[in-house]
Amino acid sequence: MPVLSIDYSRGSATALLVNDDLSYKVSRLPLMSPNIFYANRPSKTQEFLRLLSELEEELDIKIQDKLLIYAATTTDLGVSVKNCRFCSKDEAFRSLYPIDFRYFSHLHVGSSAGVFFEDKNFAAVKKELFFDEKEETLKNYFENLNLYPYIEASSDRDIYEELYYLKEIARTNCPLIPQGNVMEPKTIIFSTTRTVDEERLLARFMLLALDSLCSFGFYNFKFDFSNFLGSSSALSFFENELFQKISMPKFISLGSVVNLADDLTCEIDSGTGTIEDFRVEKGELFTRPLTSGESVVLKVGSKRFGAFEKVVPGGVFGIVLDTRDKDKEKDYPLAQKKLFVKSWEDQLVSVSRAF
Amino acid sequence: MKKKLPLVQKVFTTNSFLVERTLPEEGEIFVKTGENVEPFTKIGGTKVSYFKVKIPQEFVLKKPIDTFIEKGIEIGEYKKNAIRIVRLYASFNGFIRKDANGYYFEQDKVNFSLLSGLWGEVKEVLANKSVLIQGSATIVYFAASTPHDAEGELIVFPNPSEILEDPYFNNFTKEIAGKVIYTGYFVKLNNVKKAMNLGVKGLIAGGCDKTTLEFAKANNFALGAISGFGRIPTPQEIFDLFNSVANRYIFIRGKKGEIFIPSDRKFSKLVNKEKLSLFSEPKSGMIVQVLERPYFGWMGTLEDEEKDRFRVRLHQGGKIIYAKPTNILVLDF
Repeated sequence: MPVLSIDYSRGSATALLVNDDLSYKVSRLPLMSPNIFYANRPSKTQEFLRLLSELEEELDIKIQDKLLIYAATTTDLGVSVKNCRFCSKDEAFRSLYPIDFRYFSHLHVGSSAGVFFEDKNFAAVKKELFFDEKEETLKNYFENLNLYPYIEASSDRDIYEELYYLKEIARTNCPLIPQGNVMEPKTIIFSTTRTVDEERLLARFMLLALDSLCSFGFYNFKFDFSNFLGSSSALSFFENELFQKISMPKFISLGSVVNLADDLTCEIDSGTGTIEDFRVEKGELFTRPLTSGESVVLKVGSKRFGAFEKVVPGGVFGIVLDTRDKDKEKDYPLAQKKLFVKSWEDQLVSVSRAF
Repeated sequence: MKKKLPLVQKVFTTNSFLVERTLPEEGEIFVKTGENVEPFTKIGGTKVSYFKVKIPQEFVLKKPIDTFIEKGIEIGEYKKNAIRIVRLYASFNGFIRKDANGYYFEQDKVNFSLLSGLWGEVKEVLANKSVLIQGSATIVYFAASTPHDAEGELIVFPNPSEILEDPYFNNFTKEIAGKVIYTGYFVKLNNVKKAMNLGVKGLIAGGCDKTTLEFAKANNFALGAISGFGRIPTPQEIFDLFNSVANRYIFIRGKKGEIFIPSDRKFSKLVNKEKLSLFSEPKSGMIVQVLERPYFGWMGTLEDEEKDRFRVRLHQGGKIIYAKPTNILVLDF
C-alpha cells in the first residue's frame, strides 16, 4: 500500500509519497495559518484536509484510495483522519538515528538528537547582527512570523535576522565543546523547509550549518535540499523497515569541513605528485575548491589538537577550514562583523562558483 | 508555488450578537425579558468607586482609616530629609482604606447606571446582577490582542496619528475614563500606561510592539492590533468604519480577538461563513495587504504578476512595490 509521509511544519509542509515499488516523490507546499482567516478560519482538521487535497493535485493521487498517511508535527493537531497516524517531530527525528542531520525551519531548529527550541533570546540575536536593529523591531518581526508563519523572507535584512535567530538557537541548543574523537570524520546532513535556490542563499545556509556545529573535528556536510529526511521522519517512526528499504536520494555534497579553532599548518596531496602546503591562522574561514567527485589527502597540524591525516572528499564549497573562535564573534564591533560576514559569504560564493 | 492568494475578511456582520451587561456590584435591574432596548436605555443601576490609589508605606496618615476626605485635602506626609516634607493630597473625594497590601485611597462610591450599549432584545435577566441582550453587530478582527474584554464609548483619533498621538494622550483628562480608544496606526507603551492610569477601558491600534502587548496582557488591559506587530497602517476601510461609529458604544472580546460594533438595524445580507472561499485566483484591482518589510501591513491594489512576484500599487503615496505571492493577503470588505 502506498504511503504518504508528511513533515507538518509551521508555514510549510513537505510530503514524501512512497509507492508500492519503493519509488518516491517529494513535494513541498506553503501552509497558511488558519488564524488569518478570522471568522471563517478553518479548524485544524479542515486545514490538514486542505493540505491533503492540495497534495492530491500535486502528487496526482487519491487520498480516498488505499493510502497510509503518517505525519510528524510539532504540536498535537487533535486531528482524526482515516488511515492517518500522527507523531511528534521529536520522536520522528529520533527514529532516524544513526543518521546525523540538522533541520532548519523558520522558527525552530531540530536535530536527529531530537531537540526543539523556540527559546526567543532576541537580545542575543541582536548582538549577533552586523547591522543596527532595535531589539523591539526584531521581536516584532518574529512575532509577525508567528502570526503569518508562511511568509517568506523578502530582503537581506529578513534573511540575516532569521539566520542569526536560527544560529543563536543552534548554539544555545548545542554549544561548541570538544567532545569524542575529533579525528573521527562525521557526516551531517542538513535539511530545511526553506527554499535555497541561489548561490548566495546557499552560502548563507552553509555559514549557518558551520555555526551550528556542536564539536570540533572533521565533517562531511551534505545538503538535503528537498527536505527528504524531514518528510520521511514520520515514515521512519511508524514503518522503519520500509524506510530502510528506500534508497536515499543523492544529497548535495557541500564539502569537507575541518572545524578547529587554532592556528593550523596544512598540506594537501591531490595524488598528482604536487603537495600544497599553507598555514591557516586562528579566526579564519579558509576554503579550497574541490569538486564533489574528487578527494585529496589532507594533513593538518595544530598545537591544541595534534596532527592528523585524512582523505577528504570535495563538494560545492570544496574543503573548508574553519578556525573561527565563534564565541568571540558577538563582541566584534558592528563594522568588523559586517566585513567578516561579507568576506565569509563572498569566500563561499567564490569557491562555489569555481565549478 | 501555488499562485492562489489567501482571501481574508476582517469585517463581518451578524444578527445574533449576544451581550451580557453586568453591574460592577450588585444593584437593581430595570428591564424585563422580551423588552426592546436602545444603547442609552438604562437597564440597571448600583453604586461604585472607580479609582483606588495605593498610599506608600512611608507616609504618616493625617486621618484614621475609613474617614471621608474631600478632594484637595492632605491624606498624609513623610519627611524625606531634614528640610523636605512630601505631602499626599486627595485627587478625588474618598476614603482611606486598608487591606493585606497596606493603605490605599478609594474614591467615594458614585451612582453607576448600566446602559444597554446596543440595540436589541432582552433575552434573559439575572436578578440584581446582569442582563443578556441580543442584537446586530459588525465584527472587526484583530491580528493580535490581549485576552481581556472591554466595552465603552469609542473615541477615534485621526489616522495616521503617530505625530498626534502624544499630544492627544497628554491632553487627556479623567473624562475619558471608561472609554475605548482607537489610537491610530501605532500605540506606544508609554501611552498605554497613560491610558490605563486615566481609566481607559481598551485601546485599538493598527499595530503595536510585542512588548506593549505583553505589558497590557500582564496588567489585564484590553489592547488589540488590527494588522500585527510594529508600525502598521490600519486598512482605510476599517478606519472609515471606526470613524462612522465614533462615540458609539462598542465591545472588545479579547480572547477571540473581536471588536463588536452594535447596529440599530438587522443586516439583510449575511455572509455564510461556511461557504466562504479561503483562497482566490489573483486578479488585478484586488485590494491586498502586503506582508513584506518595509511596507509590512500596508494596503495596496494588485496590478499584475511579474516573474515570481506581484506588482502592488500602495494606497499611501501610490508607490509601486513587488511582493512574493506568500507575502500578500487579499482583503475582502
